[in-house]
Amino acid sequence: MINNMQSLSKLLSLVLLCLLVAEVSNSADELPTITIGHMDLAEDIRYTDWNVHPVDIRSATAIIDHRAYAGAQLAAEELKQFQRIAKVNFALQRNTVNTYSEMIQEITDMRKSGIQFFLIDAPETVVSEVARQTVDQGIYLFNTTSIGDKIRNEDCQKHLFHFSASRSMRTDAIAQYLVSQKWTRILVLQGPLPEDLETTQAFERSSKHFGLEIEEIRNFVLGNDPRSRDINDLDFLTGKARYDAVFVADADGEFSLGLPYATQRPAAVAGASGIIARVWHWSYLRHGAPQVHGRFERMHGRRMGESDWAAWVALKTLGMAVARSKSKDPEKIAAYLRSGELRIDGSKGPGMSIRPWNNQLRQPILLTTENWTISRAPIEGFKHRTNDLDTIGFGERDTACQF
Amino acid sequence: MHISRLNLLWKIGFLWALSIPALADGTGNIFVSNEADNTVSVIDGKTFEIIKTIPTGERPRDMRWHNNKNQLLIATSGSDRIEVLDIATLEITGFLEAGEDPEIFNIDPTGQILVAANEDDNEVSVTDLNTGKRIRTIENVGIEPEGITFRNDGAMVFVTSEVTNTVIMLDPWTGEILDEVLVGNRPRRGIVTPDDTEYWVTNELGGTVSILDAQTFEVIDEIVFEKRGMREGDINPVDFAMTSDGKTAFITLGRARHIAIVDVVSREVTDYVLAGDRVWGAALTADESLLVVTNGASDDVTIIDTNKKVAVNSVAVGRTPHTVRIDD
Repeated sequence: MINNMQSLSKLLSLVLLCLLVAEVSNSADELPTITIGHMDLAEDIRYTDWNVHPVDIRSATAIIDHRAYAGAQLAAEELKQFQRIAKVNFALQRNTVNTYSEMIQEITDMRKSGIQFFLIDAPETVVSEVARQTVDQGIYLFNTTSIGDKIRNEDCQKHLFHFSASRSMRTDAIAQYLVSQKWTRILVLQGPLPEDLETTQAFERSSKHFGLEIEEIRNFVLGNDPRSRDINDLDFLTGKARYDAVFVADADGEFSLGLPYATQRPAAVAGASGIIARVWHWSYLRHGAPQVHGRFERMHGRRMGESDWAAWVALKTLGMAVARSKSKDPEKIAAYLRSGELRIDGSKGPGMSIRPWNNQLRQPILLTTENWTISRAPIEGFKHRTNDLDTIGFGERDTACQF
Repeated sequence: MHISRLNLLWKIGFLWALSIPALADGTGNIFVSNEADNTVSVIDGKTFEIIKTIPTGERPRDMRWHNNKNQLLIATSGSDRIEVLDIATLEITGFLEAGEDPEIFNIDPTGQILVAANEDDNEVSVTDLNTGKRIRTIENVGIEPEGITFRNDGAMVFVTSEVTNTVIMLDPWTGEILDEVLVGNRPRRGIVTPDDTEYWVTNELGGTVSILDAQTFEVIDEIVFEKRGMREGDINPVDFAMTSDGKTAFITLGRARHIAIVDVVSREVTDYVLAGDRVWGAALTADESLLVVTNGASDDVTIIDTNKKVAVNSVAVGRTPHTVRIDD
C-alpha cells in the first residue's frame, strides 16, 4: 500500500513536471494576444444613404460598402509584422449590432472575455452614449468615424480617443484655404438636417477665427417644387449676394452635387462639394500615401476612404504604442498615447500625436476635389506657438472638455 | 615583430584600397535617375552641362556601380527589374531580376550578390550577379522595406522597414533574419562607417538619425536636426554620403531644403547647407571636394563645395530626380 502510494506520488510528480515543461515551452513559443473589438451598426445612414451617388443606388457594379472595418482589416494584417518587435499577437473581432444599447451590452460582454480596446464606427449620438456608459471599466474606445464636436468637448470622456477629424477641424482647414486664396466673402448654404446646422455653426466659428466674412446664411432643401424656388433653386439660392466662395453644409450630399459651376457668381464651392476637407483621399501622392493606397486596394479592390484610413491609423497607433511603450497594460498604453511621446505616422506628413486635452488625434487635413488633393492644412503661414497642427480644431484654451 | 609587419602590410593594403577611387580614370560624369520621367540624365562633371538623357524602364530609382564602374545598375521599379547601363556606350545592355518593384538595392563587397527591397510585396530579393537571376526571397522584413545596407564585411545586411519603424538585420547568404530593432519613425536609408563599428539610419518622419552598434545591433545614440526657420515636420532626413576616412557624414534633410554636415566621431552637426526642395539623394566625388544632391520636388541637382560648405551650382534634370552617382 505504502509502496503503491509512493509510486503514485512519483507518477503524479512526473505528470506535474511534464505539465510544467509543457507550460514553459508554450510561453516561449506563443506570444500573448491583444484582441481589439470592432463595433459598428447594421444600419448606419452615413453609409447607406448619405453621399451615395444617385446613380450608384441602382448600379450593379458600384461598390457601396465603405465601412471602416476594411481599414481595420488592413491594419490587422500589417500588425502581424509588429509581432516580433512588440512581442504580442494582435487579433481583430468584429461585432455588428442594431442599437447603441446592444452595443453597450456587447462591449460589456466582450470586456468579460478580456477585450479592452474597441474601435467604434458609429455616429456621434451612439459614440457619446456608449462612452458615457462604459466609464471606469478598463475599456478604451477609439472613435474612427464620428466627426461630432460635442464628444470632443462637453461630452468628452477620458477613455474615448478620436482618430477622425472633428467637424471644426474640417471647417478650420477650409477656412485657412479660403483665406490663403483671398476668397474671404462667403455665402453659406445650409441643409435641413441637424448635422447641417452643426456644420454651419462650426464654419461660423472658423470664419471668425481666421477672418472670413459670412455675407449671408441661406437654407436650402432638396426638391423641385416651383412654389419653393427660393430654397430649392440654385439661381435664387446663389443670386442677389456678393461673395467670393460658397460654403455648403449638406450631410446628405445630394443637393451639393450640382452646386459647383452653377452659382450665379463665378465662385468656388467648398464644404460638402467642390473643395472638401477630408482626413484621407486616394489622390494624395506624398508621404508614402500611395503605398498605403496600394496595400488597401490589393486587399479590398476599392479606393481607400476616410473611414478606412481612420480605422487603419487607430489600430496601427495601438500597435506602435505597445511596441514603443513595451507594455501590454491597457491603462499604461492609454497614458502613453496621451503623453505626447508617441509620434504617429499616418502617411500624410508631419508626425501626429494625441491632444491630451480631449484625446483628439492632431493631424493634417487634406483639401480635395473628387479626384485631386489641392492642398493640405495647416496651410503654410498659419502658425501656432507649439505645434502648427493645433491651428486646426479646438485648442487647449478653447476646449470645453474636462476629464 | 611578425604581428606588426602584418599590421603594416594590412595598412598598406588598406591605403592602397582607399586610393583606388582617386586613381580610377573615370569620365567624371554625374548620373541622375529621374523617377517621373523614366530617364537617366548624364551631366558633365566639369562643365555641369547635360550631355545625354538616357531612356530607361519605368520609375528609375536607386543606382549602384558594378564591375569596376564599367556598369551602372539602375532599379526600374515600374518595370520590375534592374537595368544594366554600359558606361562606355551609355546604352542599356541588359536586365537583372530583383523581384517586383525593386527600389533601394545594394551589392555585397565581393560583387557576387545584389540585395533589393521590394516595397509593395514586403520582401527582400537576393540576385546572383553572375546569372542575373533571383536566387532568394526573404519575407517578414516588416512593411515597406526600403534601405539596404551591407556591413563592409559582407556578412549581413541592414534593412529598414518604414512602417514598423524598425531595422531588420538579415543574412542574405542564407536568408536568415538575425535581429530586429526599433528606431525612429519611418526609417529610410542607412550607412555603415568604414571601420564597421556603427550603422547610421535616417528616420524621415522622426527628423533624426539613429546610430546602432553594427556588431551588437543595439541603438547607441541619436542625432537630432534643429535649425531656426526649419519647421519640425519639414526635417525629413533621407540619404547619406560619408567621406572615406569615416570622419564626415552628409545627410539630406528633404523638405527642410538643407543638407546637414555631421562630425561622425562627436556626432555633432557642424553645418547646414542650403539645397533644393525635398533634397534626398546624395553622392560625393572621388576627391570628396564636391557633394551632389538630388532635389525631388524642384527637379534639379545641387552641387555643393564641401570645403566652402556652400552650393556652387545647380543643374535642371528630369522630373523627380531620385539617385545620383558619379563616375570618377
